Amino acid sequence: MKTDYSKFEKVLLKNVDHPESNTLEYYQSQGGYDTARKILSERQPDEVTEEVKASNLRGRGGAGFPCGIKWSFVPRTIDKPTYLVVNADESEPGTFKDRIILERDPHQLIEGIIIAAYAISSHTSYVYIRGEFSKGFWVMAKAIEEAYAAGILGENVLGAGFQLDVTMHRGAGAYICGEETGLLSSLEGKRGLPKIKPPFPAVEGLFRCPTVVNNVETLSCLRHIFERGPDWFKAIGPEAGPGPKLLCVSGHVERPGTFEVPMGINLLDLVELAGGVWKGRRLKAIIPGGTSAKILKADECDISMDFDALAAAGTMLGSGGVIVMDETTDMVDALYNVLRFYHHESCGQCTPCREGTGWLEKIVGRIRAGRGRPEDIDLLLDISARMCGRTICVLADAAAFPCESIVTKFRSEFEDRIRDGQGHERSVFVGGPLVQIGAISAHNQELRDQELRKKH
Amino acid sequence: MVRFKLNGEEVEAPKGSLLIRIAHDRGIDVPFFCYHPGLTPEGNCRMCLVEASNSRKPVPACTTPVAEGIEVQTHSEAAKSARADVLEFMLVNHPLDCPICDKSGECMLQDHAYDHGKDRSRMVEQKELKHTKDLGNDVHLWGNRCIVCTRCVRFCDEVAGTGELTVVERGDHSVIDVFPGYPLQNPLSGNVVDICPVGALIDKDFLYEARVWYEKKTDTVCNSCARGCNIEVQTLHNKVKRLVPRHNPDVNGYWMCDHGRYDYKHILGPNRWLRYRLGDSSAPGEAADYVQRGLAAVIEENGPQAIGGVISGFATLETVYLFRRLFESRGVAAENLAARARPDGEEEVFPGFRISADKNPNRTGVQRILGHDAFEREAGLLEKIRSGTVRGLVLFSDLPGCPLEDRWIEVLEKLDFAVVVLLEGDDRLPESTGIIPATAFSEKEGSIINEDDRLQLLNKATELPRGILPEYEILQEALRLGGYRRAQMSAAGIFQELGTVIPELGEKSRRDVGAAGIPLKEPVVPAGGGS
Repeated sequence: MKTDYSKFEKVLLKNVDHPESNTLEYYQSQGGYDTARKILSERQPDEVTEEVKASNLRGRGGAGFPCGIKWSFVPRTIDKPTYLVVNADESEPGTFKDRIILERDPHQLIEGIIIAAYAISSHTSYVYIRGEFSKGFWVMAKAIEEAYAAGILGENVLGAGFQLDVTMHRGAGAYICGEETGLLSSLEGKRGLPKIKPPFPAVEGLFRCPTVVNNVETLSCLRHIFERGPDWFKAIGPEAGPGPKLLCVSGHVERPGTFEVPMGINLLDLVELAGGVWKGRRLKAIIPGGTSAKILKADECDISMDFDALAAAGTMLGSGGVIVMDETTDMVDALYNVLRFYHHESCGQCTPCREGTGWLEKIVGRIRAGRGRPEDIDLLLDISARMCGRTICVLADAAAFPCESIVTKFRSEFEDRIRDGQGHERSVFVGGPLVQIGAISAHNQELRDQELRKKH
Repeated sequence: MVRFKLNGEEVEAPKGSLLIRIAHDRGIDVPFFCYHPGLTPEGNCRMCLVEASNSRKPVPACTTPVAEGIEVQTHSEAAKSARADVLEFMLVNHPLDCPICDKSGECMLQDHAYDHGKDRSRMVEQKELKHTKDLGNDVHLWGNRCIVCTRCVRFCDEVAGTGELTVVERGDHSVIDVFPGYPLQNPLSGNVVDICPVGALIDKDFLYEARVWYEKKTDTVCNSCARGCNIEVQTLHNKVKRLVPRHNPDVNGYWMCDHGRYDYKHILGPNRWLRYRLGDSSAPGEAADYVQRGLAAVIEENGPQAIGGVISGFATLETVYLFRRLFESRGVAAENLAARARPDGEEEVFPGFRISADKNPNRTGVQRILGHDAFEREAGLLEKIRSGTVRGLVLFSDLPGCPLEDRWIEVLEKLDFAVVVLLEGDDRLPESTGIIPATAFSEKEGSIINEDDRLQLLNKATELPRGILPEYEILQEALRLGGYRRAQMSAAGIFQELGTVIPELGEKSRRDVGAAGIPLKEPVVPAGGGS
C-alpha cells in the first residue's frame, strides 16, 4: 500500500526554499515570533510545559525522550541559574536535518529557544553548534544579531519583560560532543567527556546548574505546536510519538535529501519519496536512524518510521538518518566504514569503548583485507555484546549495534570474504590514502562485471 | 541511613555513601583501577562494575551511591563476567612488558588480570603505540602501558592544584601528557607514580633500581619536616631504594611530598661520617666510656655546671630522654642543655596537602623533654662557652644537609672536652674534638612527635653500618658507666620510661602506639591531611 507523502503539508521546512528564508524580515512576514510573543504575554511557564507535555513531543536528537517531561525535571525552587542548551552538534553519520534549519530558517529555532527558555525560566541559552557547520554558524550568528537588534532577544524579549541571552559556541570536531553530557563538558571548556548520570543535566548540568539540552528540530517544533495546538501535533502519526519529522535519506537513492514527513511513514514509502533505489537496482538494506541504529534487511524495511515501531523491530529512529544500501553494497566494507568512524570518535574514557571500538575495526579491517579467520565472526559478535551497556555513555553501544546487526544479518558475506581470502585485489579510496584491500565477494564481482558490459 | 542488600546481606549505610566503600569496608573484593579513595571518583575504568537491582545495566560501584531497598550483587556471574571483559579490553593495547616494567609485582593490572581475568588473549591485531616521554623532573611516562584511568590527572588537579597533566588524543590513542613548556614540576609530583595502577608513570629515581618483590618494606615516618608523613621505606640489600607514602588520614592522607621522598640520598651518601674518633681510640665500644670519662673529668675540675649539651631536632624521643638523663643525673642546670634545628623553609600549601615550614621532625618532642625554649638556649650556652663557664660539651650535629655553624666550630677548641655526634663529615672540626657517628633516619628505632603533637614511631629500615652503635645505646652505656642505670635496654624498653617526661604517655608501650601513631592532645585537623 503506497501513500503519496509528497503532498504532506510542510511545517518545519515550509520556508527553507525561499531565497530570503534566513532573514528576520521574511520570517516575520510568515507570522514569525507572533506565537512566542503571545506565549510570553499570556501564558505562565508551567502552562507552556503542560502544553508541550500534552502534545507528546519527543526529542528529535536520538533518544526520543518526551520533551515536556524533561522540562518538568528542572527544579523550580533553586537559587542557581537554569540553562537552556541547544544541541546543534549534529554529527551522526547520515544525518543533516538540523543543518537545514540552522542554515535556512534560523529564526524558527530562535523562536523555539524563546519558548523553551520561558518554560524553564532560563535566561541564558547556549547554541552548541557543530564546528564543521561553518555556514550554519554564520547564518545563525547573524540571525541572533538581528534578533537582538529587533528586541527579540536581550533584556526585554519581545517587549514581554523576559530576559534571554543566546550565545553561540562552536564545537571542535568531536562526535562525542553531541552526547548531551559530553556537550556540556565541552561547553564548560573541558575535554568533551560524557559524565555519569545521575545526576541528570536537568538537575545538575552545565556549570553544575539545572540544564535542559534540546535538539534543534525539537525546539523548532515548538512554535507550530503552540500555533496550531497540541491536538494538531498529536494527530500526525502515532499518538505516543507524533508530529512532523525530518528524515534524512542518503545512500543509494535517486534524490537524497531531507524530507519532512509525518511520523510513522512507511520506510519504503520514504525511499520512494527520495526517488527510490538508484539505477533501478534492488534494495539490500537500510540503516533507519543514523549509523548507531541496527540495520534492517530489505525484507524488514516495510516498517513504520516511529520511535516505538522501530524499537520493537530492535532498531531505533535515532537521529532520523536513513541510509539506503543497494544490492551491490559490500557489507564488509560498509561495516568497516562505520567502525572506522566509531573508533575515531570514541572519547577514550571508558575501557570497553576505548579498546573495543579499535579492536572491532581492526578485525573487520583484517577480514576485508582477506586475512580473516573463521573464528573472527563469532569474535566480532562476542566483543560487540561485551561492549554494550558497560560504559558511561552509549557510544560503545552505538559501535556495537551496527557491528552486531550487520554481522548477524549478513553473516554469509563475511564468511565468503574470509573463505575467498585475497582472491580479488582491488584499490579503493577510503576517506584518505589509497589503500590496497582484499577481495570482494564473487557475487559482487559478477554484478560489477555485468554493469561494465552494459556500459560498453 | 539507607538500608539495602549487599550480596544478600542486609546492610545499613549513610545516605549518599558509595557502594565501593561499603563493599571494601565489609571486606568484599570489588576490584578497581581508576577509583582512589583520596580522589574524586570518575568511573571510567569500569573495573568495579556490579549488579544493582535499580539498574538494568551493571553499575560502577565507585560512583554509585547506595539507594534504599536495592539489592547489590558484587559476585554474580553477570558482574564477574562484566569485570573479566573489562580486563580483556584493558589488555587489548597493553604491551605486557612486565619483565622490564618497574611496576611489575605491585601492578594492579597484573594482580587483577591474575585474579579476575581470562587466561588467554583473543587479540591478534597490532597494538596501538603511544608516546614514551619525560614528563618533568622526577617522572617518566610509558604511554603504551597507560590505561587512561586519569588518577594522575585528578591528583594534579585536586590535590596538587597545579593541573600539569592531561589526557591528549581520543579513543585508544588516549594518553597522558603535559602541556608544552609546562612540565610536571610540582613538589608532590612523585605521588602520581604511586597512584598509577600500572607502570605508565615511573619514578626516574627508582627506574630499574629493584624488583619490588625482593624489597624489604618498613613502616616509618618521614624525617624531612615536622609534618611527620607516614611512609614506607623500601630497601634492597640494606640500601634504601625509595620512600612511598603510607595512608594515615590524620596526618598525610595518602600522599607525601617530593622533598621527603627523595631525602634519603644522604643515608649512605659520600659525605656520611662513619668513623669513631675518640682521642687515641677509634673503637665503637669505647665511645660511652669516652663520653663518661670526659664529662666526669670536667665536673671534677669545674663542677657540674661546667658541662653542657646540644641535642637536635632530629634526635628521637628516646635519645633526647637519655640525653636529658645524662646531664640531669649529674645535676646540670636545664639552661646548659640546648637544641639545634634546621632553619625553617617555606611552608607550601596545596589544595589537598601541606608541607611544613619547620624542617625538623622532632622539634616538638625535644621541646617537650627539654623545655619549650630548648631551641632558644643556644646563644646562652655559646656565651657560657666563650666566657669559659662551660668547659665540656656533647654536641649533636645530625641535621642532614646542615653542617655545624661557624659559631660552634669556633668555640670547640676552647673546650676541655668536646664530642660531636656527626652525621656528615666536616673537616673544620678541630683535632681535639671527639666524633661519634650519628644514625640516619632509616637506621633509627624510636619515636618522634610531629608539629600537631602526634607521637609516631620510627622503625629501623636499614641496618647500621658494621660497628656503628645507635646514639641511645651509647648514651645508656655512658649512664650505666656513671652508675646511673643498671642495664642496656632496647628502644622499646626506653620508650616505656618516656612517661616520666611526657605524662600523656603514661604506661604506654610502643605496641600501644601502633603504626598510625597517637595524638598527645586533641588532634588538630591538618590543613590538607586526611580524606
